Amino acid sequence: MSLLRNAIYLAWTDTRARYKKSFLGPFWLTLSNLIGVLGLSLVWANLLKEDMHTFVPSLTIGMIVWQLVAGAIGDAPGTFVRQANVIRNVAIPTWFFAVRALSRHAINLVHNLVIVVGVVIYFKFPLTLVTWLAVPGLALVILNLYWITFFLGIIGARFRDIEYLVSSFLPLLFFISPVIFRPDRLPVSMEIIWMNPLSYFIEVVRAPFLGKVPSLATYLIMLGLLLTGGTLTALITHSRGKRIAFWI
Amino acid sequence: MAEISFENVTLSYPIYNNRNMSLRSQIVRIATGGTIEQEAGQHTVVTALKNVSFKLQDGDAVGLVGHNGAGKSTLLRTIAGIYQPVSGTIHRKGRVATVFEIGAGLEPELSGYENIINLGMMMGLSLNQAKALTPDVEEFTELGDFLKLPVRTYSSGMTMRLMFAVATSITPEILLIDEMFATGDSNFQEKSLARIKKLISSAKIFVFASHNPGLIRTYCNRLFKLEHGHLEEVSFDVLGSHKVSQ
Repeated sequence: MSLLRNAIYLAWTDTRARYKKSFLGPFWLTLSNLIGVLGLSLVWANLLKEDMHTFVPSLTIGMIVWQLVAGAIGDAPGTFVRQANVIRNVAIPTWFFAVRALSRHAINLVHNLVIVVGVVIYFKFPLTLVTWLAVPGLALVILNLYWITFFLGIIGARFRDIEYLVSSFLPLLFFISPVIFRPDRLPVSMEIIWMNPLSYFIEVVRAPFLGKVPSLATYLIMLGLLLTGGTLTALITHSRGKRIAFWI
Repeated sequence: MAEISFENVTLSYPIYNNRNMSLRSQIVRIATGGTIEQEAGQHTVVTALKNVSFKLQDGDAVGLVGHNGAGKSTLLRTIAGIYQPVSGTIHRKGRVATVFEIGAGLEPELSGYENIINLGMMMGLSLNQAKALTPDVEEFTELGDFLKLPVRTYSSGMTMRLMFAVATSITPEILLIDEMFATGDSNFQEKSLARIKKLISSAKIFVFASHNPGLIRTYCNRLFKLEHGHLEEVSFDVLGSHKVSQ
């Protein structure tokens, strides 16, 4: 239990070390996201002829959840490889490194929440009981990202191509996810969006913010992913986890 | 009560080259047969430890000798629980601290003080316990105001002082050290000797891999020799015949 706390603390030191010599520190993430959201809002709201008042909050939350998901998945294959010099020198259970890597992205998310709060206040977005469904939604996202980090970390330590493979597919997944456009507003049917599992990661957190209860299917898919992925990861850790120290 | 016992421990590990690390060769291996399969499927397997058995008890200070590549570092990592053996059983009782590679686990951008806490927490201490190490480490390392500077500004000798101080101040029951004292000055060697003596006298286990016969004579009371993965306990006379200068 104390190791879990330590992993999260060390993720916080990682974040501090990364921005050590900059003035804004981790808030650079917040600022660059703010700039991104503003720019995209201007362009896309006009292109898609959307109402700014509903489009901007939807885009903001979509972008921020996407950053968490894409950041965690993009870094996942390097989870153990990057920590090679610790793994080869200190006996720590492998999950420690997965928690540490994922916590770094969760810390970034916390910094980005400032933007969400700003948007909610500025656009006078109504906070209702439904909004709080975003919390269990986010918990489902993080639990799923945990097994993904662990799983890709192990595979990525053995096969170094995985890292490049993952990072070349992520942009594609972004374009077939509902981050920028709202699927119900599109002139053409974009069913392909729902073939992308990451779309549900966005939907389960964003829908409550927009005053909608996420569909039962969304919850079932998130839970199903968690169960299958979690089992798969447990199996692979059981059979291959001991070899990680030799691969890195 | 610290205790380590190895029974017929054999450890081998694969060395993957770039070809084996890539998915392409693995896919080719599935898709084709014959010669390519052979070529792609080949990887070197190094057997670093062969049927190693020994028992260490309280107060044992073991010197580990052997030429480069004899398996000294691998044995230390196996004792620490970092590498898992292919066969054989290992029993380990007691908190382990390791000093293997200089700079391992340190965050170069953060100060010495912050790194003391990081290292302590990686060894499983709570934040407060890790903070409590600071005065002891300050006193031992004599780094003074350098502890406020980023670790990337440290010389290797200073880095080693810091790592050794943290590893010994958590009062481990098993202390494992890979050849490293070469970078320390004589003042540091004296201080570290005193610490290790104290550790051994309080009934703990110390294992030290080194090429320096002088250091091994001073620190250790048992001597293990590794040769091609085979381990045998030898007498200290072996050191004399080598005539390696200190």
